[in-house]
Amino acid sequence: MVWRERPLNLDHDIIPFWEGLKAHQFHLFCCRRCGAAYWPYAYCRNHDDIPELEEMEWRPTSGRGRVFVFNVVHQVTHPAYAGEVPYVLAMVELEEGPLFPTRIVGCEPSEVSIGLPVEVQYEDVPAAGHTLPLFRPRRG
Amino acid sequence: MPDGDGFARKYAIVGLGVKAGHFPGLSARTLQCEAARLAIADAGLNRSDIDGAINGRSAGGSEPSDGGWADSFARILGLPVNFYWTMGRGGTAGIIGLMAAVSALETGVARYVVVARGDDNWSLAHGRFQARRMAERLYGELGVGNLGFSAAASAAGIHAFFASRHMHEYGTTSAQLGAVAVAHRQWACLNPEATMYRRPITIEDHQNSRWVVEPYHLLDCCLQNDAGVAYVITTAERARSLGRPPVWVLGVGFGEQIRQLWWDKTNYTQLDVAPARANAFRLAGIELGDVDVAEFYDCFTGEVIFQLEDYGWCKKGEGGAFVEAGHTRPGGSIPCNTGGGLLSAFYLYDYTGLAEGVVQMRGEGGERQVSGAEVCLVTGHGGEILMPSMASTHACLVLGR
Repeated sequence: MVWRERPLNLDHDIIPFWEGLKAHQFHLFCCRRCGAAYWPYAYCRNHDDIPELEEMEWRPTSGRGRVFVFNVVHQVTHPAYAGEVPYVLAMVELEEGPLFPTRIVGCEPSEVSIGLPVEVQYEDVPAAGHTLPLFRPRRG
Repeated sequence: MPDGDGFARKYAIVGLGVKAGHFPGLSARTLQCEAARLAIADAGLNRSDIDGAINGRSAGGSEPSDGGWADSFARILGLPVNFYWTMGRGGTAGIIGLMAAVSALETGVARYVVVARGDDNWSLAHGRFQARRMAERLYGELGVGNLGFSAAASAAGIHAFFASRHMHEYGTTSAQLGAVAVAHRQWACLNPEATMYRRPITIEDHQNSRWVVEPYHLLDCCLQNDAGVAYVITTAERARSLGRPPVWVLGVGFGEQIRQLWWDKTNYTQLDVAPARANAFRLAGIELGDVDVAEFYDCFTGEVIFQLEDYGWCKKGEGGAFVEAGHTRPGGSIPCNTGGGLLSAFYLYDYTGLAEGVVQMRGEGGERQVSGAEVCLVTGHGGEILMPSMASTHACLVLGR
């Protein structure tokens, strides 16, 4: 099975994020009080009284950021990934603040560096009915 | 410095059981049973003495590597226990188990507690269970668990991030990571029980070993094997009446970086040593200079460098040079992972270091014994290999002779 087609097994809490991806929107979980953005799902950390859940909402965001840290996978843990090595895994520091784990695609591993500007690349997987949020070097 | 709260030397490890290697016929559960049986015998105790059992493992609930069983090693061994608990978190399971055992002893819920863990990772990867293992790995790497996306969810993938960031911020080199691997191998070459006994390596071997997840070469990664480790812990009075020299629990502490994950972004070059160390050293009534030997959680080479810095043996960012200078190897100023560690002895979470700590505090290390060692640091590290809870927990245990 192509790994991209593997069915997602989602918590209720994270479904809006994945629904957003299908519409090619990159949602983050945001605080209505102060606007702080979170991924993954979290209560806003900026208020010591712990805001009510109703004070948080999913909002579309830039889908842009920079590579915070990355590695290059050479040895895979499953044959489904074997045809793709070497590939780059990264934590992207989004413009809104959170870190997001993803793959960097659209360039050679040697072209990736910490600080590289990147943007989301929506990968529709029709066979599975979902869209994956991969990232690529920012264009322009 | 006075002992914190009179805790030090109230409890002691009195029995140790270790079974590590390749055992294709044995399940994780049976390896755990074997280790527990050996530990009880080592303590000079019998089945009827054991009234508490703890399965200290990587996650609190059922997990695939245990076959998802709710069954217990205590039932299989026929231990007449008052309780059987499964608990743990990543590579801190052995020390969490100790924490729970101490509370049972303190409250009189039990008199002798056995804490055990078993793993059949090698057999799963090489034997007839390979297909099942592969299915789990596909699930794992995609991380299609509760968060739906976790692109780096393998142990090497996650820990390579730590190393990559440390190299970026402090200029740590691959050769310095290699110096950790070489030092631990030097210790393993003195330990007949180590997987890599009499198989020395050089920095060149490290540099030439294949990439697993860059910046980690094969020789940056811990071993994979089948193993069981168990220990029996009891109160001071009971410990003194048994045949083996008591290994005293001096202090224990924990740190958790969940609060720093992904927002503070500080967890890529350090482990949450500070609160763990503070409480453990307070209870033990020690300072860093009192530690004679350190059994770090060395799942990958970078973690050793981080811990040397975070505990204070050197400044942040200088851990690579510290190891390169030979401080941690045989004859060095702070002997580390004296049995070879997870990198070169065998892998079983923090139980590997805990077992070696017991050996050192008993003075039974043979060629690798650190002469005159009286205080041993044992650490645990980890968490679920599912972002964002990746490797955020740290445990610190201080043992004494």
